[in-house]
Amino acid sequence: MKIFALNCLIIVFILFNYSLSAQCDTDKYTDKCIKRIQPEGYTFLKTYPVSGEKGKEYSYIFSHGTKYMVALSNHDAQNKGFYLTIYDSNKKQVVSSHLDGKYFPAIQFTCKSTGIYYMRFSFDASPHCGVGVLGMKR
Amino acid sequence: MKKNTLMGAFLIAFTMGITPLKAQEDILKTVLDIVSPVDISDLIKKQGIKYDKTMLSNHVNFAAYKSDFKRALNLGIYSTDMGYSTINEQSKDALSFLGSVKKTAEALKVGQFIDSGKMMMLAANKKDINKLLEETTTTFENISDYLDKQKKPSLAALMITGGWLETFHITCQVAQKQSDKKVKEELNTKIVTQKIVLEKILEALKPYSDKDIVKLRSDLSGLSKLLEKYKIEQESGTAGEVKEENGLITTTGNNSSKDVEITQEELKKIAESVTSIRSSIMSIK
Repeated sequence: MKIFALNCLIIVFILFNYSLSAQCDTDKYTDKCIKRIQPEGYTFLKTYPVSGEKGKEYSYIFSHGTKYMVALSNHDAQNKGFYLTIYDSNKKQVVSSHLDGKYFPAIQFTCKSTGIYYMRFSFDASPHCGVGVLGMKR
Repeated sequence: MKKNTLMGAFLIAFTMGITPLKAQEDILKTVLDIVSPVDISDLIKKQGIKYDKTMLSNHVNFAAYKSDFKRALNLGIYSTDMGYSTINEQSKDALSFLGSVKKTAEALKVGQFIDSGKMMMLAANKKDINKLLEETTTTFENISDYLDKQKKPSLAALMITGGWLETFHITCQVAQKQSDKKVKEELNTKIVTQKIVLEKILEALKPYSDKDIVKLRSDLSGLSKLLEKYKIEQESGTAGEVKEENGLITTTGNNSSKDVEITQEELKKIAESVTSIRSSIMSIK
């Protein structure tokens, strides 16, 4: 009986998490990010939807000499509780949008070394729902 | 008690069963993350290189593709060509490729993801280029995700492979004709970085025993061998300066890397290998 109860609990937990993720409607955040990169002259490359307490990691090949911008958006106008950390191929941190206690709405990154980079989107507070949009210019 | 044991066994089997699938899904997602036809198309356009329709696929061939294998690969090819013509503001060609994307997607039973009306409206408004690119990129990602969830991950992998190969083909063709040293070096670096993507694609296609996929994988392995000798070295050194600028975080990142040297002869070999694989995918036999 105990095993049955435990199994049920696991299923409920999985379904609960799935339902939480499903509630994260990122469309409006995406539009906000696109509006941020556009006036700066960046061309859209990718949208990164992020939901769930653990956040999410994406990767991209950044090229030497190219300027990238990752704009961030969540429920808060000041992006509180949602930030991005970029790591190089050796998983060494390059930059974070959470600096000196402040959450910045975007990172501008001029790449000096071609290679694969990892973008880890994290939450410090709920709701765990946000978007990052990557743009580039030469 | 018997029910409980069965339930427990089911959960264990379920967890074990999804492990390899999950790993496969992760590989596909990584490939999808790092593949970007927009990146290359933008580079080509910004360097002032003229739009060249002759490099692109024949958008009327879609009806001749009778197997899901070819449909998925060519859906990727059409999507890249649509992206390239969109970036170059060639609305007529972009709409022709959109038509082929829609028909091919319908044949694969994923046509519901393509909102042609919305894309045509965005294409008509040149100020909305980023929104259009977002719509096309997201549509491509949604189809891939759907195919994966419909237990057709091989089709998702093929679609991504087709899209990537077309991007690689355009890059090689442009690089071969380039006389400007700086632009050529930049394109060569793009070509070499494709080895990272190719490694992941080979991994994504590995689990499938279908003879067409096995043949494709073998052809791609040949291409991979040509790229093997080039090194992409990224050393972690002193981090670049991080500063606040106009309310944003700005940095120059770590270190610097050199452009990659590829001789004209080596470039020709790589381009020929890509063309050969692409021709086989696009053939209507």
